[in-house]
This record gives sequence, structure tokens and C-alpha cells, in this order.
Amino acid sequence: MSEPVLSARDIIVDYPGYPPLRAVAGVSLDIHAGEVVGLVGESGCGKSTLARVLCGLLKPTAGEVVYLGRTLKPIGVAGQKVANTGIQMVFQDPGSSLNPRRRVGPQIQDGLDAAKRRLGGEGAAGAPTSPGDWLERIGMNADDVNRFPGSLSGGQRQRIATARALAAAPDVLIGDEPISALDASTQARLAYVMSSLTLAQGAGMLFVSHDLAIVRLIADRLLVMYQGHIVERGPAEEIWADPRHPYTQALLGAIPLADGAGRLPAVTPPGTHYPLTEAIR
Amino acid sequence: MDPMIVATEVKRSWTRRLWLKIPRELRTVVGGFACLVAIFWILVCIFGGALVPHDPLAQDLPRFLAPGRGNWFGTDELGRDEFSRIFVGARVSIALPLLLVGMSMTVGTIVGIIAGFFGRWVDEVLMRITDLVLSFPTVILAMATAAALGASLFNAVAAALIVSWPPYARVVRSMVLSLRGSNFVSSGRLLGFSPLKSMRLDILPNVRGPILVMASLDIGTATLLLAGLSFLGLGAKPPLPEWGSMISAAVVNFDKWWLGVFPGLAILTVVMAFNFIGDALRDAFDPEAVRV
Ligand SMILES: Nc1ncnc2c1ncn2[C@@H]1O[C@H](COP(=O)(O)OP(=O)(O)O)[C@@H](O)[C@H]1O
Ligand SMILES: [Mg+2]
Repeated sequence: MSEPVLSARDIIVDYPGYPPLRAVAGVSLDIHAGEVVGLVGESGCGKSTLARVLCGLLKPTAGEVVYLGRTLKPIGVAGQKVANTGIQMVFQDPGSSLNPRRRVGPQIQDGLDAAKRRLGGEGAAGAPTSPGDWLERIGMNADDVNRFPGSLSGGQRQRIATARALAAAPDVLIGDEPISALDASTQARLAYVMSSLTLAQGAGMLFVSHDLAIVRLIADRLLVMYQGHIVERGPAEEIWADPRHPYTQALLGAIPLADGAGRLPAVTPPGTHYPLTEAIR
Repeated sequence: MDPMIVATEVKRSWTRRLWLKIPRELRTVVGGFACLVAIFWILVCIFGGALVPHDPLAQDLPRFLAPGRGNWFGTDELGRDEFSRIFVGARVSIALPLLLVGMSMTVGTIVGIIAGFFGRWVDEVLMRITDLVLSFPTVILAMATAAALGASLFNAVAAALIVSWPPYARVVRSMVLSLRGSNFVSSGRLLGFSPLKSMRLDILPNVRGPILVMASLDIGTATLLLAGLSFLGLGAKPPLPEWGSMISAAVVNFDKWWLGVFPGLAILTVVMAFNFIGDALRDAFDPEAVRV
């Protein structure tokens, strides 16, 4: 297999406190170009923390992130280095993923400018070259460039955040639960739009979610995270069909099927009472 | 499209639309009155010199004339027309506080943004200085500074500036701290925004509104502070007409009520009008705030 575009090696993140909270407890992972990696786990297991480390927004307590063969230095006060703008992220909260005081067009243009600076010339070949074209590519109107984020729905804002990230022609796109604040019918559609556009650009993607049912539809590989550890990894369909770790089994068992039986998790991981309440709410 | 909707859209005239742009809190009787008073004083501030019946410096009238025909507000101890002095004095007594507020807002915002954005030792140093200034009683520090710099209007404004930027720095810094962690700022940083670009595009536009409200609330205080410094003889020098120094002249002639009452009323109306407008703006911009 080819070299990964982004890898994490033994990442540990402790948040200060008494005692310190170990949010990520030694995680290694690889993301290759052209694949979608799903990262699932219940709320609070450390997914966002890991995602922020992977894009350089957070300095890990230990371990390193390798981007295109080089160690990724966390973003300092001086800002992200141009060479590292190939790592982009779409955040969870649609309410704050865009600047409320700027029109949509200039915000997407920032992505295009980043691509031009990093790749030189006109940026990525074959990609839309204007904010309006990008809006059409993600299924909105080109006229929406003049709107402010406040007048858009959550799903539209996440589309725009995706467009801005992809306009930067990233090598890897990290989605930190980009769909979980949206309604059910929008979720699957946006997840599909995000992953297909990312793959069309030849980039790799890490798609974070607590919803295994949607992630398995777009992910090639799955990582199951539990209390800061990756407890299971493998091809998505394999894990879906035959989960090995008790936590994954519980996670799958918690997915409510519309059979009216109101199933509860079959297995509860050792040492926890009922860890999935948040995940299934 | 529904023709009815189109019709109402068109019917709403531009005056109506302009009216609706004004915050609801200002579209009340008291709000309208405060706006009228403020506009009145600003017009006086601009055109006052041309409107007055007498030269504010001429000492050609009888001394201590009580208010009456020809001299509506009476004359002072040197036989100058009080009305003319108040109108011409508006230029100093209103324009300088506005200038002062503009400057302290600018300085405080810059300090606050830098401290909040860069954090660490930059924040430490800037905020310790801010706390140091804040820990002194405002008026006393301003008095001490003005006295040290020497009595002049320029020094009074400088002294007032030194004591009035820290509250802005504090408020801006706390807003920047919460903005800095927000996702759109992180997105900008991932796109390679320099600190300056991040501050200009993502931070400043999001602190501007609350800061302008704070500034409008501050105009009254600044008016009082500068008038107070002049009252103490640390600001405007005679014969320049200025409301604070006019009141201090009135103190020596306590029995001539018109000498103190009219400049006092001028200060009162200015301060109340701007405070009310500031309050209304705050309510309009921050609907969460408890209304009293
Ligand atoms: N800035 C922070 N300071 C302290 N603790 C944090 C911080 N951010 C997250 N945590 C804690 O770290 C753990 C992992 O959080 P997070 O990575 O956000 O999980 P997830 O995204 O999977 O819900 C949680 O217990 C959370 O409370
Ligand atoms: Mg999270």
C-alpha cells in the first residue's frame, strides 16, 4: 500500500486537572489518499481531541503526527504554515463553523486562496475556481455567495464549511461529527456529498461520528474508539457484520432498529454502567 | 411567487424601512426625546459659534445681569453673555468627550485583541497594566495625571484617556478569548491566516457591535470626567468657554444662581441623553441582558 498522507503515532493527550484527564490514550492511525476512514465512539471518548491533534490545532502530550512524511508541528501564534494547509477540518457545530459577520462568498474564497498559495498557479486542477461554482458543486445556488451564514440552515452551513475546506484542495479532510447536529434526512445526504467530493479530489478523509449506522455507509475502514483507545479496527463491512470487541458489539446493539422491540445493548463493557445513553439519544 | 407578498414588499416605503432599522428601544417617546436632545447638542456643537447673539469672550455687558430679555441666561462676573458661552462651550464640552471615547475605545480594543489573541506572556503583561490602571479610582488618577502633566485641555484629555481605556481592553479580551476557541477562527487558522488577518477578519467584526454600545454608554461619563477636570482647574483655561470651568466660577458667586444652573443643565441633558441612547442600544444588541 502507498504511503499514508496523514498518520498518528502513539498520540496521548492529557487535559490538566486533578487528576489529569487522559482524553486520548495512545492512538496510532493512518489515513491514505482516496480512502474514507470512519472513527466512531460515544460522546466523550476523545474523538474531537484526536481530530484536533491530527490537524495541528492541539499539541499532544506525547506522540507525533506525520503529514506527507514530515512531522506536523502544531499551529503556533504565527499561524499554520502554507505547506500544512493541506489538512482541513469541518467542525461539528454548524452555528460556529462560519464567521457570522462575513458573507459566504469571501469565506469560500479563503479556501481557494489557500490552495493557490500552497499549490501555486490556479490551485487544484479540475476543481471549481470561484465561490459560486463551489456552491453549485455542493448543491446550493451560486447566488448564495452574498448571503450571511445567519440566514442559512445548519445543513447549508455545513455544506459551505465543506466547500471552503475542499476549496483549499486538501490532501486530507477531517470531519469532526460534521453531520451530527443535523436532522436525519440531511445527515446521510451530507455525509455522502462530503465523502464523494473528497474522494473526487483524490484526498483522504477521516470521518468522525458517534453514529455507526451512517459511517459504515461511506467508510472503507472503521476505527472504534472507547475511553481514549482504539479498541477495534478493520474494514467497515466486516466490523458491521462481525464485531469482535464487546464495546463494538454494544455499540451495534444500541442502534435502534425499527422493529418496535426497542432493543437495548446486549453487552455492557466491563466497568461501566450504561455508557451509550448519549450515543443513542 | 405570491403576488400579495410582492405587493406588500413594494409598499413598504424607504422611510418606513429606515424607521424599522432603528432599534425598537429608541422608537419610544423617551428614546425619541433623548435622540432629539443629543442631535440638538451635536448641532449646537457644530454651528454654535454662528448662532449666538453675543461674542462669548466680550466683556461689554453689565456684570451679574439676571436672566432676562436679551440675555436669556444672564451674564457672568466679567459681563460675558452666559447663553453665548454655553453654546460656544458645547464645542469643547461635547466634542472632546466624543474624541476621548473614540480614542479610549480604539486603544482599549487594540490592547484587548492583542492580549486575548496572543495569550501567554503578552496577555499577562497587558492585563497586569490594565489591572494596575483599573485599581485606581478613575477621577483621582485622572486628577493626578492632569496635575502632573500641567493644566491644559490637551493634558486633561490625555489624562482621561489614560484612565478610560482599560475597561474596553478587559471586555474585548474576554470576548476574544471565547472567539479564539470558536470553530470559524480555527478554520481560518487551518487555512493559513496570519495573526493579523485572523484578527481583522474573524475577531474584530465580532467584537465591534458590543464595543460600540459600550462606547455610547461611556460618552456621558467622559463628559462628566472632562468637565470635572476643568472644574478643578486642570482642563480648559480661561477665557475659553467650557461648562466645567463655568460651574467652578459659579461656585464663588453662589448667590447668582444662573451661573451654575445653566451650564449644569447643559451637562445634565447631554449626559442623560447619551446614557439613555447607550442603554437602549445595549438592550437592542443584547436581548439577553436583564431589562430594568
Ligand atoms: N478543553 C478541554 N479541557 C478539559 N477537558 C476536555 C477538554 N476538551 C475535552 N475534554 C474532555 O476530554 C474528553 C474527550 O472529549 P472529546 O474529545 O471532546 O470527546 P468526543 O469528541 O468523543 O465527544 C471528555 O471527557 C471531555 O470532557
Ligand atoms: Mg466531539
